[in-house]
Amino acid sequence: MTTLLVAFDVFREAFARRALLGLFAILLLGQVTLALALDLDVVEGAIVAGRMFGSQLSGGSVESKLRPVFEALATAVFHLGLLFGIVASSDVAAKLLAPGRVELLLALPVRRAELVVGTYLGVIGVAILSTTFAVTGVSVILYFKTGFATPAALAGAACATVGFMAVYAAMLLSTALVRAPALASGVGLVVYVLCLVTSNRETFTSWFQGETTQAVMGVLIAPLPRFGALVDVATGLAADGSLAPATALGAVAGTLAFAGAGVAAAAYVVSGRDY
Amino acid sequence: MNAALLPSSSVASVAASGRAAAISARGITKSYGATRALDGIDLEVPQGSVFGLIGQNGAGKTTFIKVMLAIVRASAGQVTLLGGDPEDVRIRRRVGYLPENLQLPVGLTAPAFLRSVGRYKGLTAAHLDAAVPELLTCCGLEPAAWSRPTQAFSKGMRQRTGLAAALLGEPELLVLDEPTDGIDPLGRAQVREVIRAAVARGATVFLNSHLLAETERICDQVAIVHRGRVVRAGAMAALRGSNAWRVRFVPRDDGAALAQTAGFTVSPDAAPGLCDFAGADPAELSAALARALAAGLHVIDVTAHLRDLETLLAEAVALEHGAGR
Repeated sequence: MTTLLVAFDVFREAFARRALLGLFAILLLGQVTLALALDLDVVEGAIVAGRMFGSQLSGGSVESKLRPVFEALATAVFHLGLLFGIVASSDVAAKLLAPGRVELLLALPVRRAELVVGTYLGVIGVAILSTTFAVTGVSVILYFKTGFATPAALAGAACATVGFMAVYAAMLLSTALVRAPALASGVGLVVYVLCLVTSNRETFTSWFQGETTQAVMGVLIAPLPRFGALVDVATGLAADGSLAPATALGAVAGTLAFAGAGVAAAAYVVSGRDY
Repeated sequence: MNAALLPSSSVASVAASGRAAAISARGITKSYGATRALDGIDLEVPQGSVFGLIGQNGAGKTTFIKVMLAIVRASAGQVTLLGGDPEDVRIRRRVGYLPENLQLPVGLTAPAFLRSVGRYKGLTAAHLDAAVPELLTCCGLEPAAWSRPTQAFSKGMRQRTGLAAALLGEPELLVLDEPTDGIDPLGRAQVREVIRAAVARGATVFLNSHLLAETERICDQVAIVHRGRVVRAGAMAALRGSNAWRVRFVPRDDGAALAQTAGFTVSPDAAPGLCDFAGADPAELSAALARALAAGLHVIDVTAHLRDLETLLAEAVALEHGAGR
């Protein structure tokens, strides 16, 4: 219960920040622009005429035309959402652990682990809301324009959130160790890039010379989530609803395990520190 | 070391008061690497008292408060708050705390901040509906400021908001670290009233302040901390020990003898009619003056040389330096 109170406070405080309000304003502006610029004539599930920003769109079935759009949307939400999330959330925990603030929180009936987990859940809650807002808005506009609806885009957004859960866990651990928002951003970016680059283990290790080095690199990157696999899951769902259950489960489970370990480590660090 | 400086005087004061200790600290030591911030602090704060912690910058006052509230972990020693472990959330629910340099959450109004703190303390919405406006009013935050986000607040307004938050749920122990910092003189009077009201309902107040005059006006128990150690502690009156007054009587031949009989001290080289009186309580001076007047002496002038907290602090620090510490 106390954890949820912390999460609620973090969530509420996040929405008082200009950066997040700016993001929502930009998303809303993009959605309104799409709604006004896209003109489609749909007859029996097929686009017979269409214009986007004044340019003619080719015809075809609605589903075949919209699947690539949702695929692109899922990819954009994953990468842009993660990058924005890294920047926007870099100082959330740092502010909570700031002198003059943390003392009051620690003197309240709040356990340190609850403070860490609550902060994490609050930030993830903001991420879920942001990605859902971005994807749902576009999906709703396209539904009203075409009559075609699919939850695939939302599934793609969920993958983006899962990816952010791993990145923010590392950022939270970084803040628990050193209360520096810039460092947290840096850690977030490094984890994001590493998780993308090392997604294909074989390809990554083949970049290095010698079997021993490759084996060492394999061990080093083993704990890192496979963001490439997560993006594949997101775009696959968005494109045609296809899903390889084993791959998807492995990618999600690995990412969540990494996130859980990061949060646990952050809670451990905060529990043992003086403030 | 001077026996009067022994911190055990505070323990004695608790025993004499017959009240249980709201705060009990035994052998608290805190080291940061080679630096020893707290060096074996023993302190007991009686329930229902207003206890002031004074000392120079860097003496260890705030560190001790943080150790007391388990914000900082002691290297050695043990603290109990209200008879329990300060890490226990049930104990912390009974404690109100205003930290030094309080930072309020961004985007919240003062009532929203208080509600947030109240929810952590397990207070119901109905309780908060009544308590929040009442506490903000009694802590002197104008209603016009209630709808403004707290990041626009001045230091004094933040302090008032923080004090109101500390008072939520009528805590049994109120720990205030520099509560009047940034607050105007009239506001300080309000803070004093708030503290007195808290004590009147049975709360214990633990106060750390650089404003010695404020501490003197509010506190009935004081501890002086120097270099991480309690060098003096006890009831304010006992700590003051003897105040001094210089009294000038109308000179007469038997004046010195009469004054001495009445309880005054007459120095051999003092001017005629001039004598001194030492005592902890001004009532003792009144009684001595009454005896002198009854003996036929007439008073021309009385000058007080009262020992205030500033004097006590300066004495304690000088003695510690003199002891080579």
